[in-house]
Amino acid sequence: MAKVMVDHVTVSYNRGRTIAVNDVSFRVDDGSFCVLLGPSGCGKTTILYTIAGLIRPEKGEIRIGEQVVTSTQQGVFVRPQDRNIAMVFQEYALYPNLTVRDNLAFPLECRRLNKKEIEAKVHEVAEMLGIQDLLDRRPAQLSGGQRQRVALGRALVRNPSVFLLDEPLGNLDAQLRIQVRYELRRIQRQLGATMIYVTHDQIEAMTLADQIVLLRNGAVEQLGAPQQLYEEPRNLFVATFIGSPPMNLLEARILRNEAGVLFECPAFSVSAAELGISSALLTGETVILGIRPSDITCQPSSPSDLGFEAQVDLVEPMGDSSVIHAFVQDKKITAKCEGVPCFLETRIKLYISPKKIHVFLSTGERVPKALVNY
Amino acid sequence: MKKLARKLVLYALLLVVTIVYLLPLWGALTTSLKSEQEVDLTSPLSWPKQPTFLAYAQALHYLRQSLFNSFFITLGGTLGSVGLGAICGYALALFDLRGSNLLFILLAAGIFLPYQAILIPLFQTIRYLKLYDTVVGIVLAHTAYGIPMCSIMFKTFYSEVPRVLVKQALTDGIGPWKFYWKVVLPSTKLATVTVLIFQFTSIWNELLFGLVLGGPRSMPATVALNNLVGTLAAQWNMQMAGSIILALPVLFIYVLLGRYLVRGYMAGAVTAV
Repeated sequence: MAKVMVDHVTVSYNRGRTIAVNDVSFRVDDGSFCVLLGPSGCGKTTILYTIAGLIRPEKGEIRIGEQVVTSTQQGVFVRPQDRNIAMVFQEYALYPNLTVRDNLAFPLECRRLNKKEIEAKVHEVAEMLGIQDLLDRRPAQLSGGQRQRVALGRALVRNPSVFLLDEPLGNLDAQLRIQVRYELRRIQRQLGATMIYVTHDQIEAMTLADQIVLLRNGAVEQLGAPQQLYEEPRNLFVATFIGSPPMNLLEARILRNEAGVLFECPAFSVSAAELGISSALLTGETVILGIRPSDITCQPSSPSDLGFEAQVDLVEPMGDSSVIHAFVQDKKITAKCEGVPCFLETRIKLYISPKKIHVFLSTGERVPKALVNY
Repeated sequence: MKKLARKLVLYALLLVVTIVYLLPLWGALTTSLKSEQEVDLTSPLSWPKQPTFLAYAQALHYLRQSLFNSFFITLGGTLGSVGLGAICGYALALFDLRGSNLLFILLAAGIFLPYQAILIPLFQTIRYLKLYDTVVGIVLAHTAYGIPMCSIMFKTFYSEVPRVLVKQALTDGIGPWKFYWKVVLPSTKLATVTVLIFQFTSIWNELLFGLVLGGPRSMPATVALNNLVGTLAAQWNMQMAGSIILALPVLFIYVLLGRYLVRGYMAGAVTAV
């Protein structure tokens, strides 16, 4: 296994007229699971293809392990078949005329392993994925989940330096997706494999990743551990993209007086000191307060909690918890509370701890929490 | 009632057209089975009183060498043009090569180039290569002339192979050639058969290249048969026997592989994808 370095990579289509990836850099540590996350068209698959050598970047350098595989400056380009990578596509891409056994063995045959070694490898991987009984079938005779397993197996059988996975679970149904997701993570840990995984599903990213690279319009918005992106989103885009249901956003006016800075929004007023931010960082007339639905509660957890009235619109029970859609004046708010609340009336009181409120400038930048102000 | 009448008219029309189309073949068959005297005395369409294969023996004797030539020319020309066309179509369909669009346009232009337009330069080139009146020369001409059509047919068929398979193969460490042999070719047998039949038929039946580039040693059967007209003007039975001998391989192939041909033309040439 190897680490991967992506260094100032720019990719464009149509002879430079469409920039798909704009000066992207990140590093994937040896044995870690990196997820490229973003909405469709953000360039995540393009980056993956560039690492694979299926696309030549306009600028930049890519290293797998110690080897430079792409460098526009040094004029280096290693062909995909010589990069020792393994790729899994959303479409499975099994060789239609070959049996499962031959699909698994084909890449090994090309590397001139002897028959016995190949046989042993194929069996080992088949056992790991539970596809021993399918070895003599052809892809057309397999279900979607089985095909995906075979596609994974074909990647695993080769001991590549890095695994590249392009939305590999995209074609599976919800239940299967969770199962294969778990297996994938387990195998990755077991093998200590370096994996780069493309998805637009933030839950997949949160559950799988050691590191997330969140992209928008071909540029990195934020990279870091999933929890870091969740707790300290750099801007509004990251804040709303990560987390389900998405973060509530409330516009608040900034009121400056002798006592300090106060934010006033329809639901409540709160001071900068309570939020734990330094007022020196504030600009403009308004800020946007971001509140995660799961941070809103039906009962106050401490006396400092802010309470506000809301008009319930709809409750979605989910068994252990429920999602409450409510209106605060004319602003819609989503809350995720434990249990299934039973409301006698449609007006309820909701609570939020001010420490958990995120503050964003009107430009979208997040105002960092200054710990000294607590 | 009206429907039935319309159907009757349609079938009657089809019958007439079929008769007109097949009458010469019928005439060739009956004439080829007659003796020389009977040819002169009876109508060409009447069935022979005493069918004889004498004319076939004579025709085979005259055409023997040229039939061999035809065989080798067709074999070489078909394999050459289909082989090269397949590789060309593969590259055009599944790889983004620089200038492939321009190449495709040029190839398409090659299809519309009439034989007659290139005849003189072709003749000069072949003579310059010292290949005039050789089977190799004619094979070379057919190979070159067949490449555009074969390439475009193969490109169309191979375009049905999902592109993601190529990407998969490359990242699996499988080179483009190996991928072609092990995956593309076996999953597109129908395509190959279709193009093979198409090329075989057109080269076997071809006259002009053979006439211009071939001499007494290398002339294909089509040319030799034509020469019978001038030298042995009266021997209709032998000429007709020769024609039928010449038509047999093509007829045989169509009967044997016709169903592949129809399926291939109807597209869906990639199996099991």
